[in-house]
Amino acid sequence: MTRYDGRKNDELRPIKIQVGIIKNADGSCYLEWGKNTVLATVHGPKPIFPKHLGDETKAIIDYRYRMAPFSVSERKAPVPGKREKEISLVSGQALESAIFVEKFPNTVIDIDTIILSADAGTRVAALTAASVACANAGIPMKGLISAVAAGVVNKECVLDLMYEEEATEGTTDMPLALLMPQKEIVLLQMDGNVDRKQWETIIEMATKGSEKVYELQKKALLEKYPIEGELDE
Amino acid sequence: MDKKIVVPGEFLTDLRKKMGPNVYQENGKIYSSVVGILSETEDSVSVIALNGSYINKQGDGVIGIVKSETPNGYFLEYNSPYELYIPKNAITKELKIGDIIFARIKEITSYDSVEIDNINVLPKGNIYVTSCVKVPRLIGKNNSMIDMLKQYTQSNIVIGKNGLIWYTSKKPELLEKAFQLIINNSQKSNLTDNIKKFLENTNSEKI
Amino acid sequence: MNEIINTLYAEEVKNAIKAGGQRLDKRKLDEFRKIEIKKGGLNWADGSAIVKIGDTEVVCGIKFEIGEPYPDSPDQGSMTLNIELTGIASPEYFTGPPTLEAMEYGRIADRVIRSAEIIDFKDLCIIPGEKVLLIFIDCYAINAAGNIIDATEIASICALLDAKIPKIDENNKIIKGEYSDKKLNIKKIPLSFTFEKIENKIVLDPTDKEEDAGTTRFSIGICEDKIVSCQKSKSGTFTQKEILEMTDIALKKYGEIKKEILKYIKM
Repeated sequence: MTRYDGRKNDELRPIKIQVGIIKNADGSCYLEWGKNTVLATVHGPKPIFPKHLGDETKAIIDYRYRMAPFSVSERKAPVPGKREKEISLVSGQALESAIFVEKFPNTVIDIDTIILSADAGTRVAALTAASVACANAGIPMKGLISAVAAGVVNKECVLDLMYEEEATEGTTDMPLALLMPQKEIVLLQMDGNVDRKQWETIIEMATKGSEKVYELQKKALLEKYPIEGELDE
Repeated sequence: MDKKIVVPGEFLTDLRKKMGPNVYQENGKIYSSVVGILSETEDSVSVIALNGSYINKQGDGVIGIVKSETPNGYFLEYNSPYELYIPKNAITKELKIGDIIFARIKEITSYDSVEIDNINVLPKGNIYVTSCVKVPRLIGKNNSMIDMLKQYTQSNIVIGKNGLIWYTSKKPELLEKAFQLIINNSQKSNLTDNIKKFLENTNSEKI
Repeated sequence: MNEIINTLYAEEVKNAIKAGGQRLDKRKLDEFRKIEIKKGGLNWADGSAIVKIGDTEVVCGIKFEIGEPYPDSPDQGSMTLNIELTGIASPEYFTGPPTLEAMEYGRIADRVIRSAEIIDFKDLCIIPGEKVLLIFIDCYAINAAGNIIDATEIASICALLDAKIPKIDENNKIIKGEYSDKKLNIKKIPLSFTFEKIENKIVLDPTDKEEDAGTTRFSIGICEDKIVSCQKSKSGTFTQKEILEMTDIALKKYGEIKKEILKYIKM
């Protein structure tokens, strides 16, 4: 069976990553992933106010995932709903596992992601972009967070579901994020209905997919800092 | 040896080496913790970061800006995740909000507080903000870069290790442009020569 | 750090202005920063644009929805304009409920477009008294470096010019991803001009540093040779003469800015 856009079952959509494009931010990333468009910025670590919100032992990661009203088929109210808040929470925790937060006690690292155009897989796209933005900000990290979803569509295990696949009746969707290159799972969510064998298959698929995402993140970061050539303005 | 840019989590070596800045160890292997230039010798390994926030270091000369006053002292912002505190009894003259201070970090008392000495109030001038990691290149080997900038742009420049730069200049646009070029190309070789070319070529024009 | 630097430069801005009407970025008092526009490209938006004025950057997306008309205009659709100032654009913005500042910016931009009457809301009527098309204009500041108001207004008008009206099925529902041949039929471009008063001098298109140094703001909406809206804000005052001077500058600049925009957008 072929997929909606003709991809192989284990093939990613095209991904384009640009690093350090927003002037006010300490680190930033613009990412196009299929028809997803995401912006991520990082500010900090910076002093936390009011002070009692701080943690004596580490930096607080304040991760915000938001969808623009025009990013989806039906206009979404600009106020973040439960879904956005939950995604913000688990994504922030995923990033925290990569960041040496203990180096900056009593500070906050603000990470803002906004989905300008959504086509399934937005939380993994946002997290992938946010991780690049953190690296761009020079925040010390154990590695990068590389993420992708896998799932089961029409009984087939597939990587990186697009909108039409996610919207198919009976689809299982499983976003997964890895700390790379350690390959530790830092985010895993799923809803659907799969058997043990499919479960193992999609986890393996998403793991392999994340490794490919990692290579693209690395490439984008290296392209930002060419060691040869004319002076960049 | 060719320069190599590494990314967070990138494996550097499994030899036992002295660990410098921006690397970490796990299970006997050493990895980078930032995006930066690998700096490895026979017995040590470190990474020169290409961005990042300032962490206090004893002996550093830093620049801060007075942000608020309390009955006993002043709080300064200094491009760091924390604030700098100057007790009133450490200085002879009164400070006001917006004053620019150059001081030396005498002692680190905890993660977020330091004792400072050699406190100087800098005269009226401009402030340029960058990451502290760019400072070595802005200064250059044996002050080569900063001396050249001063000469070509007729400027007074004081660079704080924390990435704040104070300056007064006859050619402020040219100087700021040069800062920007150094910062955006800090990972490249022959930077001083290329900046010199830039200053020479641009100097004759209007800027 | 941004905030204290802007505060620090507020003095600098004032002194330069006092000394001889100089701006820190060497612009003339009535000079706009460079405008750059990227149109379209967002999959689900019915129209979109990203507008840069200097370092200030705003993205705008348009969505059409079906809703009920207002009782006093049963045969007309309507529009809503909204700008979000979130942490993306500046570390000084907090993500939460919209601030008063964001609300005011949105209202000012909204009034320029609304009162220029460039959209015939009757075109958006489906069943009089029951169903009409609503236009949602949603903007996000991406980088805040002064004059978000004009950037929001220009982004909105560019996104409106880019917008395609969706097809409607026999049950009067929007067919997703399909568009009618009709566009919004916009014939004029209303533009917002925002001024800041600093040390009794008036500057057009203020930067964030200039906004920090200023005490009074004035935004005026111009459409061709007509004045369509205005807003005086912040705690300072203007004289009648100053208001008329700003009006004349805006009227004079209108053609130039419109030309800039038409480089990127076809009408």
